[in-house]
Formats: sequence, structure tokens, C-alpha cells
Amino acid sequence: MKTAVMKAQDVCKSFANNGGQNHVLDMVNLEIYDGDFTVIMGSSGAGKSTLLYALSGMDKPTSGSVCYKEREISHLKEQKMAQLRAKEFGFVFQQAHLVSNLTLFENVAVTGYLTKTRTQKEVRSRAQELLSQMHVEKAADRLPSQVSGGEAQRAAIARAMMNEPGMLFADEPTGALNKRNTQEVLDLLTKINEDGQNILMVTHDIKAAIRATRLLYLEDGRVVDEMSLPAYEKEEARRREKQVEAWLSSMEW
Amino acid sequence: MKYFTLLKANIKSQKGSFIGISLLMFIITVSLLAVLTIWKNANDYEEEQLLRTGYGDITSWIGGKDNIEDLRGQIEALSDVWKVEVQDAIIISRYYVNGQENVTGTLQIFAFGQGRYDYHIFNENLTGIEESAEEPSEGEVYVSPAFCSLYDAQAGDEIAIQIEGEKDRAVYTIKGFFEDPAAGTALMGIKSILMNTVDIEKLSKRIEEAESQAQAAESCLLHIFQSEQSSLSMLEFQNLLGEKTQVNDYASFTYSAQAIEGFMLILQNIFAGFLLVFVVVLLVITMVVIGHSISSCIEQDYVNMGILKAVGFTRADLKRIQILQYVLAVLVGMVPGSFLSGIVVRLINRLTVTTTGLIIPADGNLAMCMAALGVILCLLTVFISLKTAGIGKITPIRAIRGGADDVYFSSRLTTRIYQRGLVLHLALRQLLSGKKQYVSACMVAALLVFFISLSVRIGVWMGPDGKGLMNVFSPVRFDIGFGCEDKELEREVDALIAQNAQVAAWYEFKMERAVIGNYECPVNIASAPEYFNVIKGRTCKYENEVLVTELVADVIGAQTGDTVWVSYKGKELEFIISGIYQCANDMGDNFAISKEGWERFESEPVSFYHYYILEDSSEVGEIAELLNEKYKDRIDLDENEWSGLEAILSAMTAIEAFMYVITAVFILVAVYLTGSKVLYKEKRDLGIYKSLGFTAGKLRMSFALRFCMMAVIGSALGNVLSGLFTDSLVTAMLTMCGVSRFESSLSPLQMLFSGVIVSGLFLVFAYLAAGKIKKVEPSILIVE
Repeated sequence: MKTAVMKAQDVCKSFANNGGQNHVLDMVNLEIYDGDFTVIMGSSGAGKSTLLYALSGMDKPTSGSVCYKEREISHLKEQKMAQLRAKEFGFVFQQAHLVSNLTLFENVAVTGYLTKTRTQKEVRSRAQELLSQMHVEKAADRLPSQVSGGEAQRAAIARAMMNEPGMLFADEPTGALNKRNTQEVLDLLTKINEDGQNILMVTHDIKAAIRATRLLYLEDGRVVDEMSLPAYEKEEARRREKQVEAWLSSMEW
Repeated sequence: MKYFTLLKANIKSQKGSFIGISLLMFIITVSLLAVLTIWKNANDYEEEQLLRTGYGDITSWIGGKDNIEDLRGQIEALSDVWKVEVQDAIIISRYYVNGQENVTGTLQIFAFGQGRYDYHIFNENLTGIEESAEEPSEGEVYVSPAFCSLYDAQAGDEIAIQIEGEKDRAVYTIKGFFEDPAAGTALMGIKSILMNTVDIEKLSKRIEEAESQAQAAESCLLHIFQSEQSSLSMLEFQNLLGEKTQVNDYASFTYSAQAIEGFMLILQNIFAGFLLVFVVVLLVITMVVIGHSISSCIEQDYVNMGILKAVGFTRADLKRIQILQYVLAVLVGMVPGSFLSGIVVRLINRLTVTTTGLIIPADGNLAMCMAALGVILCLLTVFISLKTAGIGKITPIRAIRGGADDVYFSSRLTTRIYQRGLVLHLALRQLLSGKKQYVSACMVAALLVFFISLSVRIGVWMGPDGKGLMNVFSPVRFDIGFGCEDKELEREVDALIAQNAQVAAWYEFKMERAVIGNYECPVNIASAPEYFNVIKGRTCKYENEVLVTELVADVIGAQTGDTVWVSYKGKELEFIISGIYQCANDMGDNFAISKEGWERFESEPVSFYHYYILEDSSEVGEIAELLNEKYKDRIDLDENEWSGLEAILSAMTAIEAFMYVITAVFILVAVYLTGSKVLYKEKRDLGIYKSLGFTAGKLRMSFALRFCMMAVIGSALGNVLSGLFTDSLVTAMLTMCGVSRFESSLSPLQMLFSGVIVSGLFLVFAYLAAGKIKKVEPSILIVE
């Protein structure tokens, strides 16, 4: 029996649009389980990213509630929310979104400095270790403008991992990368999930989706179906791809 | 129409900059026009009133009326003289207002309505002139409104005059106030009052019958008018009178109309100069802010401008729109500022009437104001035009590719990020990465600190009680002094002072009038010439030496080492100028000599004041009280005080308050304009920081610290600039009132003061301006 680390209940999100309301999320109910690599898929405009940001507290839902480890987080005050983001959540965006005037190493370390759960020495050593794990240690002293998109994105994953988050949110993390970099980033995400990291990722890329252990399909702001997969193995990739494709076809994707 | 549409859109999207620049220009316009109008109106009005009330090109104050017709004849015989008019007066050296004795000056009494000497009488609340002035009844007098600020006098109060040997004082009631263009200011020791002719006659009779005329005497003013055909300068004319007539032998003092104007308007002129420098500083700050705003707006609108170029707009079109936009902001500030300046002038004139003694017109001089604003507008237009040159570099293709986003490159100047003080380290990194964006903040801080530091230096130089300023006006340094005719009493007072205070030094001093190189002016005589404030050469150690001020040196065309003739009461002797000294008395129009040197003119023993320098100058009050208690009316006490000092100190306080308020407003606008552009550029980074768990409070503090750090650098620079330029700048301003050397110094704490104020304001305002960070959500990073 898997434990749910995150629960969404009746989550709605609407935006004002030309005097009317655009309902992007419509009574979403779901649970994210411990140890899973959960992927949310859906057609364009289905509300994937909106759901991700509502779950991660980046954005407040219009109604409904989001609980993380039994704690309601959708209406936390700024200070508490900031603490939660720093200590419990990690984010990887479509763009690397590294702070432009900090080196890759500093981008990673600054997250560790913020929480003050480690000494400065420990933070620096962990940042170095993470950058090595992500194979960007050689670019550690470079600014984001001086590295490739892949290197920047890998540094962004290292940054997200800095404080050993309870949940890593990834929004189309390979959307802006070339084939080779995409592969590298996905391998890293798969590896950290195998090491126990919970991941919730939004993607429209099947090659990324097959890394999941659980797939959710979103349509018109609702989760309409889901699919479970065994842990990813490289040799099984082709078969998984076909399986996911078939599932998506059944969703008229 | 194409311009109008874009202009409207630009103003709408950059309304913050537009309002900010308009506000700065509004403040500059109000300050500039108010200062210029007061300065011009005061000078014109004073000149007009002197003429209207009968003052000549030269006026001599003559003690007594004997031989006056002879003297008048001598003067009128000169071809350069048009006419001479005699105005009768009574001079009083001891008088009391509501029982309070005047400390520094004399009183001159004129008869009300003596033909052409037709004075303006103020209305009840001192806001205007009565159309038909009523002659004071017997026992009533009109006085200058300066009596209000000096003695807190009101209509109905009493003025008492002491006549030597008389037990009872002559007492008069103040009927109202009149405008005295020659001595009405609170800054001059001499004061005039207007009296009924019957009272004048009665008073003259009492003086005639008095045992001595030491405290009250008949006198007259000779108003000498230069003929239109005369080609002599005023100085040459004055020298000619001294040379060809006996006027210097009879006159207690002689002044040209310009000199009287100078005395009357000394405060307005100094403060006008000071405020004009401040306005120039503010204008430079506004240019810095406009410059930064233009650069940021070009960066911000890079894509739009590229697109406009792609659809056919030329570089000149885009530049024109930018220039129009900023010039419009400047004009929007200037127009209401011009109107408000009229109200401000009226208010200032009303508030200062008891100090200036004049009801200075508030009407703006349209030509002067238009010229001043025109010059500023042209200057700003050229500046804006130069700053918009960057528009030429915009190409449609570059704009379409994403504009001119900042790309950071590794800089040698970088700092490490530490866990402790993370916010500060991040602020420093941001600062070093985007130096250019904060240069304007640094420059604004430097200019403001420069000016505040300049005023602090002036404040320190003046001292909290104005002692510094008094020292400049005093020929010699002293804490307390007294004078009396009775030698026995003199010895007694000396002994009493010695018993009750630690005396560091004492010497004898007196002031006379003499002629140096044909130029008649006051001479300061001291038995200890080492106490003269020598600024060049050395003091007049030997009996054949004199010291002159820079002004007198210029007038007589002599320098240190030159030989000059000095004459006093018909005796002419040769002296060597041993040095240049500073004494702003009579606006620097004086010279100095040692007691030994003076004895070459007056070998008979004469009465000198005894001046004391105390070990502890805080004892002055106590000693003065003691002397007043014991020898009241028997000695003349000199506490090194000046009736106008309080007016100067309050004006300085008011100006400082004004300066701090304006400084705060300028910092607020500069920070808001610079800060909003920086925030706009860093929106993405702020979103990232928030997604990492930084709170808005931390980010705001980091943002505010950047401005504060730049302000600290700017403050240091401002202090250096102030150290380098204050003395020469202030000396240039004070030269007109006879101060030829201004030397200031600040303690490290005083230096810190202006820096702390400015940096603190930057920190607070930047923190407030960064309030927008609260609204930045990490969701801006979402790409749907």
C-alpha cells in the first residue's frame, strides 16, 4: 500500500477572461504517492502546468485544497510558503531559470544557504557533489550565459535537489533542450527517482513520459485517466513507449 | 497624429517616470523662480525706496549741525555734484524697548513727513502699505518691523530714550511700523524711528540742555547726488568728496546707496546665492535621473522600437517622440511650478517682513523667469537629445531576436556568496553585476551629500550660537568687553572680571573712522594686534604698519608691502601694509592698526574698550550678569553679540529644513524611478528567488541594500567633493559681504552625519519602492 504525500481535493482554478471566467482546472482530485515518478500529460491547454503550480503552491487555486504530508498548503501565508518551498520542494522549469549573475555553483549553493540546515562548508560540499552527479562540475564557476542549455538545466536539477526536497516538481524540463541534452536530463531524473526522490513532472513528450511510474491524463481541467508502470529500464524503453502511445491514443491525444 | 498616438501610449506606459520627472521639475521651478524673484524684487525695490525716501548717491551721517551749510557749500561747489540735501536727525545711543536695553546699535530719529522724506507706513498686520499715513500724535512713534523680531515689540509698546544726566527717560508709544529702506533690517545695529515734529523739538531742547551729548545728540544726514554729467565711478566720486571737501572730518560714517543696499539685503543675497547653488545641484540630479530613465526606457522598449522601425518609423521619428515625451514631462512640472512660485514668494516675503523691514513686492518678473526657464528647457532638450542617441543602434532584426537583454559576463570584480549575511552578499553581487544601473543612484547621493555637507560645514563654521559668524564680523577675537570714560571705574571693573573669571588674555580696543589712500572707512585699533584675523602677510606689529581687508586693498589698489597714507582729523601719516586681514564689518570695508600706531594720531590718552578672552567662554553669561547688576548704565558692555544674529540663525535653520525635505523628495523620486526600472528588469530573477524559498521581505531588503551601498559610496564621494570645493564656493558667495576667507572642517562624526541621512533615506525609500516584489509570483516563470 503506497502512502500519499500530496492530496488535491476539488481543486479549481479560473482566470478572468474578457469579462468572463476561464475555468482551467475543474474539481481536480488526485493523490501523489511516495516514491513515485508521476507524470501529468494532456493536450495543449488542458491545464497541466496550472495543476503543477497549484499543487506546488507556486499559484493559489481558486477553490479546493492541496495537502502536502497531511498539511493544507494552498492557503499558507507568504513566510510559511517560502519555508516550504525552500525545505520541502524543488523546482525544475522548462527554461533553466538560473539567477543570471550567479555561477552554476552559486545557484546551487544559495538554496542551501537559505535554509541554514547545513553549515556553509556542508552546503558547498553538497553543491559540488550534486554538480558532479549532474556532470556539470567543470562548468561550476561559469555564469548561466556561458553554458549550454543542457548544462544549465542539469544545474537547475542540482539546485532543486540541494535541500533533499520531499517533492521535485518539473515543468517540461526538457522542453527547451536538444535530443542529447534531453536524454541526459531524463536519465538524471530517473536516477534520482530510483534513489527515492518523489517527482511530479508535466510533459507532452512521450520519451519523457515513459520514465514515469505513474501517468495521469488531464483533459479540460480534469484528471480523466491514469496508468501505472513498473520502474524504468533502458532495455524496455521501446516497449514502454508503445504502451504509453497506445494509452494516449485511447485518450485521443 | 502618428506622433500623438505613440506619445500618448509612451506616457501611459511610463507614467511613473513622467510623474517623477514632472515632480522634480516642479520643485526646481518653484525654488528657482522664488529665489530669483525675491532676489531681483528685493534689490530693485530697495534701490527704488532709497531714492524715493531721499537718500543720495552718497549719504554722510554728520554728528552735530555746526558748519553744515559751509560743508554743503563745499560739496555743491564740485562739478561732479548735482545737489546736496540735508535731513535733520537726532542720534540716540541708549534706548529701551519695553524696558529691554538695546545691545548693539544706535537710534536715529527723524521727523515724520518732512517733505520728500515720505515713508511708507505698514498696515496693522504688516501685509501692505497704508494709503494715507497718519502722523503720529505727540508721544507716539513709528518704528521698523525689525523691532518685532528684535524685541518682540507691538503697536502700543514703549520706547524709552535716555538723555545724559536726566533722571527720567523720554518715553514714547509705538503707534505702528514704517518701512525704512536704509536701516530697517533686523541685521543692522542702527535703527530709525519717526516722530511728531513737536516731540522732535521738545527732545532737541532737552538734548541742548543736557550736561553732555554722549547719549543723545543732534545730527543730520547729507544726501549727496552725483551729477548726470559726472563720469566718475561711485568709488571715485566718494574719494573725490574725501579729497576736495571736509566731509570725512565731519561725518561719523559715509555710505554709497549701493553699500546701504548691500547692508540691507545682505541676508537675502547670501541665501539667494546659497539656494541657487542648491537649485543647480538639483538640476544636475534631475539630469542624472532623466538620463537613467531614458536609457532604461530604450532597453525596455527595445522590441517595440525595433518593430516601429520595421514598419517604417525612422530613427529621427523615434527620437522626436522620446524628446517630446521628456520635454512634456519637464513642462508639466514647470507650468504649475511657475504659478506656485508666486504664492511661495508672497509667503516668504510675508514671513520675513520683520527681518528685512521691507514689504518686497511679490510680482514675478516675467522676462527674467521666462529667460531662466528657457535656458533650463534648452539645456534639458539638448541633454535628452544626446541621451536618446542610443535609438539609432536599434535594428528591427535585433529587436525581433529578443532585444537587448542583459547578458552577464564574468567580471574580475566579484565577491563570494556566504551563508552568513546571505541577503547582503546577494545585494553586493547584484550591485557588481549591474553597476551601470546604480551609477545614477550613486551620483544623486554624491551630489546631495555634497550639498548637505556644505551646509553642515557652514553650520559648524557658524556654531550653534552663531559665534563663528560673529568672529568673522568682529575685527578681533574676544568673549566680553566693556567701555567707560571713568578711569577709576575702569580699574574696578577690570578687577572684578579678573576675580570672577579665568582670563586668558585682555587688550584695549576701539573703532574710529579714518581715511586710507583717500578712502574713508572704519579703522579697528587694538593694543594686541596679534588678535586680528590675518590671512596673508603678518599683523601690524610696528607703529608704522597697518592691516587692510582684501576689499580695501582692492579699492585703494595696494598690496602687502606697499606704502599708504592714512589721515585722521587732518593729520596725514605714512604706513606700510603688513598684511591682509579678515573682518566682515561694514562688508569688509575697514582696516586695522595697532594702538601704538594709532598714538601717532592721538597722543593724548583716549578711552578704549577693554576686551577679554576667557579660558572658559561659557562664563560670559555669568560675568555679563554680574557687570550688568553692578554697573548698569555706568559702563557699555559688549558681549560680542549682534542683533541680527538670531535672524540669520533662524533663516539658516529654515533653509536647512527646506533642504532636508527637498533632499528626501529627490531621493524618493530618484529611487522610485531607478528602482522601478531595475525591478522590471529583474522580475524573472525575483521569481526564481521566490521559487527557491526567498521571502519578499528578504528580497526587498537585498534590493534596498544595493541602493544603500551605492548611497554610501556616493556619500563618501560627496564628502570628498565637499572637502575640496566647499571653502572656495562659500568664499565666493560670502565675498559680497566682506568675508574673503572661509575655512571649514568637519569631524569624522559630522562627515558621517550627511552620509548616514542620505544612505538611510536611500535604504528606506528603496525598501518601500521594492514593495512591488510582494506582487511578483514564481508563476511568472511558467511557460504555458
